[in-house]
Amino acid sequence: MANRDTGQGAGGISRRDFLKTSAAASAVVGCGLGIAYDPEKAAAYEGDPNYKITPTTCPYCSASCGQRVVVSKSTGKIVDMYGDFESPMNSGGLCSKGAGTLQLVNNPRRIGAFTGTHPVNPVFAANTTAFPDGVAYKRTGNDPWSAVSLDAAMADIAPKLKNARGLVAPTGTVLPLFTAGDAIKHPDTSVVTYKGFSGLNTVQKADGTYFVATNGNKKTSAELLAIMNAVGLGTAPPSDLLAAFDSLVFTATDPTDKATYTIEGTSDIGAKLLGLPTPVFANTGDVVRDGSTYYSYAVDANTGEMHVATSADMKAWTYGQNLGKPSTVGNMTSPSVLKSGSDLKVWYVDVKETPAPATYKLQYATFTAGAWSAPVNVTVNAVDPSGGPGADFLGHPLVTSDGTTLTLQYVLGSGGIKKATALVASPATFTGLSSVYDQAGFSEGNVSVGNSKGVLYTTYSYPHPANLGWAYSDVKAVITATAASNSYGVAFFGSSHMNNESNYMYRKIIANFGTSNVEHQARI
Amino acid sequence: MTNHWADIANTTLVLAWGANPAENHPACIAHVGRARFPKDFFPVGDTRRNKKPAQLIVVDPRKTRTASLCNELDTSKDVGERDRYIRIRPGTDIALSNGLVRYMIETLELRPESDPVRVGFFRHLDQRGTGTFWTDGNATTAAATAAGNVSAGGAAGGNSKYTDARFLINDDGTDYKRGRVIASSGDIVPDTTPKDATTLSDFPLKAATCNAVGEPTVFNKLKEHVAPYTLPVVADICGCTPEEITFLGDALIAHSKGASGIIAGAPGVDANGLPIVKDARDASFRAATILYAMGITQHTCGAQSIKSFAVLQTLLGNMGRQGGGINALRGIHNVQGSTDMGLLFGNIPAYSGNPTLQVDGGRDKRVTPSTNNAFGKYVDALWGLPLSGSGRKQDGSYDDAYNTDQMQLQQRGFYNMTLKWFGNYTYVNGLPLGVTKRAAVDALYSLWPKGNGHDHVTMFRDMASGLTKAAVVWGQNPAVTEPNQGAVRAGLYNLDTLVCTDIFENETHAVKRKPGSLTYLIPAAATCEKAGSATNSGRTLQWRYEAVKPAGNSKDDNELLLRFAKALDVAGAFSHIKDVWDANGITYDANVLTNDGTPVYKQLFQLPYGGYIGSGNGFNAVAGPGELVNVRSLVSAAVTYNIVAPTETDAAKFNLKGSEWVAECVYREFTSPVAVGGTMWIYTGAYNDTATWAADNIPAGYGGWKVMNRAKSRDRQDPAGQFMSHGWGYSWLVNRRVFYNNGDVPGDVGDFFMTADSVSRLFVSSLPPALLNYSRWYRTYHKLVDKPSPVVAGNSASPHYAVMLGSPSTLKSLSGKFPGHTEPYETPRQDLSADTKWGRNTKGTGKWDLVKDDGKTKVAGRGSDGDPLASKYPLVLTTIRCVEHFQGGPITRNNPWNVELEPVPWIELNSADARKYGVRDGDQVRIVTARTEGVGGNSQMPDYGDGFKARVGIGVQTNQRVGAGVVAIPWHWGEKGLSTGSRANDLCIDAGDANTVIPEYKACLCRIEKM
Repeated sequence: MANRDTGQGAGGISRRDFLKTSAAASAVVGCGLGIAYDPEKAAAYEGDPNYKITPTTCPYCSASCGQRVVVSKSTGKIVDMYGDFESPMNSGGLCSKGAGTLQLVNNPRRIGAFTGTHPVNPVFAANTTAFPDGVAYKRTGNDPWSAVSLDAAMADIAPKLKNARGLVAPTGTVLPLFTAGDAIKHPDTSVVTYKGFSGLNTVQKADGTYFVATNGNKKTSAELLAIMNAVGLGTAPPSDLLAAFDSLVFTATDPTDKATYTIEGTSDIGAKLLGLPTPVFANTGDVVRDGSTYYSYAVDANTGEMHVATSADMKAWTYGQNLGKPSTVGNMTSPSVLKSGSDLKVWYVDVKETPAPATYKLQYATFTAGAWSAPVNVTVNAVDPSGGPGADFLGHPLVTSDGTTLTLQYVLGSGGIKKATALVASPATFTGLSSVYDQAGFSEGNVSVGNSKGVLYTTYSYPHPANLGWAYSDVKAVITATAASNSYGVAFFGSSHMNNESNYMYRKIIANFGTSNVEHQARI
Repeated sequence: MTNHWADIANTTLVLAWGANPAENHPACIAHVGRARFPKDFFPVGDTRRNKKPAQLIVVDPRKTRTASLCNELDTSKDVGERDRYIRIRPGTDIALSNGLVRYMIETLELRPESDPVRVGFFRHLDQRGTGTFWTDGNATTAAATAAGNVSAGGAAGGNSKYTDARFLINDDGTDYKRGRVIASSGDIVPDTTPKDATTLSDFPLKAATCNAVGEPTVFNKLKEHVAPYTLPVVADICGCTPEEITFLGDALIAHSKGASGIIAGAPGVDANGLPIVKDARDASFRAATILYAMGITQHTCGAQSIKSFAVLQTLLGNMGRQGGGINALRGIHNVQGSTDMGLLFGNIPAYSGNPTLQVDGGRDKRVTPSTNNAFGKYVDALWGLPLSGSGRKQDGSYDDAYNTDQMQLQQRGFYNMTLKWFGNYTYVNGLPLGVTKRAAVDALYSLWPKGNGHDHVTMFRDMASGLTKAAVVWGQNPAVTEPNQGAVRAGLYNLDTLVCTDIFENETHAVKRKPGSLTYLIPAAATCEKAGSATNSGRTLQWRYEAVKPAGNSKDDNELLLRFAKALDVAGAFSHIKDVWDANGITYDANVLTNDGTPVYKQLFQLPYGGYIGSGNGFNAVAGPGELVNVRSLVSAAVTYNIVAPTETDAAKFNLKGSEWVAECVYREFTSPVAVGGTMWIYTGAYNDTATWAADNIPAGYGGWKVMNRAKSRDRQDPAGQFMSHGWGYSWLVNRRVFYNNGDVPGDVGDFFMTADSVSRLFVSSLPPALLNYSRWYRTYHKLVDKPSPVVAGNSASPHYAVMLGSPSTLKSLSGKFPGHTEPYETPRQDLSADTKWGRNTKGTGKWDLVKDDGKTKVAGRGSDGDPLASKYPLVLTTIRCVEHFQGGPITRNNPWNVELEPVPWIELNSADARKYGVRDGDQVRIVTARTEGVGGNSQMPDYGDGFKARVGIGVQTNQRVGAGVVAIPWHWGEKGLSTGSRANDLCIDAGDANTVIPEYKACLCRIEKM
């Protein structure tokens, strides 16, 4: 292998010949074929049964000079490369780089390519015995390289990339996936960010369509109208605007002036809820379907008491009653209601703002026969350094049940969405804590679902417009906005040294991975 | 390249402007040599010996080896026909180009009206014809006839292959109307109730009245635009002489379409009565080609500079002609291919923009069910639409965006790609019609990532900020190739995970990393150890076979990618895809779920491409039937092919294995005709096994194709004797070797290009909305105005080049107009950059900031910011290349032969500057820019202090490599390899072009210090 350093003995072209050739190529002459072509060399291999000749093109510039690769049939090794005299691109000539392609291919400095002593680093010597199915080199920090099997490397790399990427949700108008986007990006500029639309809650109707409810909005109705105009409805008259929302349950509450606003005509629930003791400025009101009846549970944030309205069609609502709250609870925010007959199991965050500092406890209580049970603090039996009773739970704790298992998804004020499960028993003990999305900076943290044919999508509020940003999918889909699926967590760099097929497959993988954060060497 | 490599031999004027092909594309010089010395190349008896020997003019700040080829003293030629090297200051290309436009128009208008060149010049701009006619060329007519020849005044019919657009010019030449083709009859139905014509009449008037005084024609607008570019002004900006400008202008006129075919003082005609202008074999043929490379693009006005060439060559009529065109000499063997494949933050394959959630705000608001959801909206916004695509028709109806029979090429390719990338690849031909189909297509469309990624410069900032936590670097070396290395390396340092593949260990792999971070390096195969196609600068696909298996532990890219995809599926990174399948009833192969728990991998990679099965030679075990092409084994023997006919079932006979088979499978997916499932409209037909495979898209005279995989075709015939070689590989689109040819190039596949229309597209005003709609493509990609706006809201620094979106409403112009000169971001001519007439790209406050104003790019000449003044950096630094090394050098610096020829980094310096700064030839010098001021020894740029070896010019100023005030620096070196040395990109600025974000490698300010 030592002779690869100079190329001598590699067959065909000696170093001295090479220098002569490349000097001629460097000092380009102005006439005819300005680059070096050695017909004698071609003649030496063409027709010799000891060699297999394969055409290729030069790996350097885009002039795509044809090259011929000479492989010794006895050794299976490449012994020479020279210009392809048939190619109309170069008629056999090669420049000083192209003429040295043989040295590139047989270069002992290549990593993982040749056995023996590697001239740069012993770890880069090929070892097909230890690594019969491929190798990768790994270093931690600035430690030396070590060799691992390719499969082990792939198994290590893939989850790291997935975690760096974060959640990716498919987007489009078909998926019933609704976000609780606290910050919504204007689709036309990608610059202007509108605040609003927080605390969304979705419910699937019997016919498979979805409704969205929201409270806790930070915009006035006039501002909402302005926003909706801005996102694509232009100067449409209000009636047109409102028609766009005819399938939505939409209410808005301003936390500042503690008044409830509704967009008139968008749904009847808004109007009916105006019949509630005002002001109502709760966060998410849970909408639950039980048989053919829909129940809307909303919390009066002044009193912390839960109210209920019912509907058969999500349009005409009948106000039920003030259900009150467990006696020791401060503010029963964002209830997640599991209904069984007239019994309710209500999961919520107990917010006590006094004495300072405020406390946020994840609890549940049962409403049976018109009375509340005592609240039960929820515990999660797993290592959760920032969780557990007394930790800061924010927003809407989502509890779903499949009949045997409860799944709890909740948000910690210190960051991240956590997921835990418990058997359906009371009191529930949650185990199996996992991080659904581990990211600092959640503020609103309402966890919501769109449940379609058994697929559970988790959405949440994360006010980080610079990163994720929320985008509309449709002028009619202000509320059906989905998480922008483009992730900047991973940067992909392609190469102009790859064949078309590899570039194509690479681009496909990147798209499948859920991002368009990719660049190649277009500029060089 | 609008033309192709071998076609350069057809030219009569080679204008190498910002390109140095003698060193960076040496094979190009062979083609140039054929054009310059036909008597040395063509044998006695060949009529092409009498062709006009080409003149060579080189415009460049540096007297390159290409410039050295110029024979300026050839006494056998008239003075005006001699070669010439013209030196200009870095970054002043648009000023020169606009100066040329002004000079040429003035000169021609002063000539007598009977002057044949003047007649020809205006004839090609005037496409009025003698009656109402359609301006599209006939794409399938191999030999143009007078009746089908636009430039001959005829009416051309037929389908231009990639659009069904029909532009009607009224016989008074005043306007467009839009029509459509009835699919059943092929008839063109014009608009009889032209409500759209009313709207489109806001468009600048067309060529019919192009030079009528006072008319609002595009031509008059162009004249108005170039008015400030007088000879003295341009000479002052560019640092050249007025005589050099007039010399170049006169030469271009003499090699324009109007000057072609003039025999004995009058335009000549051939045996068919057609003008000789188009036959490159004729002695009276004249055409000029522009060869450009990074000297043009690597500026903050890079895209505008190229556009200025488009104006120049369109005006001269040199577009769509043999030996003409605008030819980008691309840097790496498959840059064209990787660009085609959409490995860019703003593209997906085949130049479609990233899918988006954006709603088309154009006048044709979609209201019908066929187009008002996600997939339909996106395809309506693709290139050329809605004017020419599936949008609203003249009769008020809509094409169905979901109906494959009504899709255009690009739409159909995207449809196929959506289905094959995200769903069931068998759906392309078998999807049921009706609502189910729409829902399924929309569901799969939902899986496209929406919107753009971040650009190259921003990506490294993202890493430093923590937004980007991991990077996959597949065969790149950003730790050498990216400007402003301080910011780049800060980003690489901060990554949690860095995954690289390469054949050598390079600077990026070895870069300093933070504690606990992980870096992986996976050995890759050399080019001749893997199979696949590459697309050269002339858009020609050529196959590269696997000559030997990858050496040792190294792996073919395709195997690595298949294993990468599989590992991602195992990790759950594709789970959202299967969720959509399940939620929407998308079926998949029954074996998918019983395989190995990687359903998405199996459905999307293993089944269509053969895949990687696992264990020792799982990649090499996959095999299937394909063609083999034998290189002739004897010099005298013919090329032989083994063909698998469409009906061939004997798979074992031509069994392709492993790399060859997987590459073949992928290739067929993106090159098959879109009508049968191909995914890339620009490559459509590069593989063809349909009934027409033998004759499709190859002119008569070749005897048809020999292979269905046309990248493998090695038929070197050139039956027309015009350097076409249609049988050698396959050029996109539809094997057309000369783009925009209007059916004017004998023997080539015809094209559609209308001069006046295209000029009009270069000039698009911001209002009314219909025009924006019309020019959507330009609106999307050309977001700069033609000259700096002196006032931009929120930005006190003026003038300002980029116009920002948003308020005030008067600044909402998104269009690109004619290019205008602006100074480089860092410029020694602050008198010009302060002049509102020219301006400079400055720091803005909106989205088009041309430099990342995050404290990581220090900029010279920004006194108000507290940065050092330009006086501290009196020299212009411009990057260059040498023939012995390649790009960032990760390959060639590992080759002893290359290293022996060019062992150490160096700079070139003018003797006047050398004297001024006390530098002698061979001295080791340090170059300092604002980026490196005070950071010598910075731990993230450890090699900065090595300096560069000075090469000082000798002799008269005009003969030295660089002019006074300019330092040229190759950027091939870094800290790894057999030859190590200072990195030029520690010094360079990462101010980027506002359209493309290509950094301004070619001009920044520096000073020189002797070490």
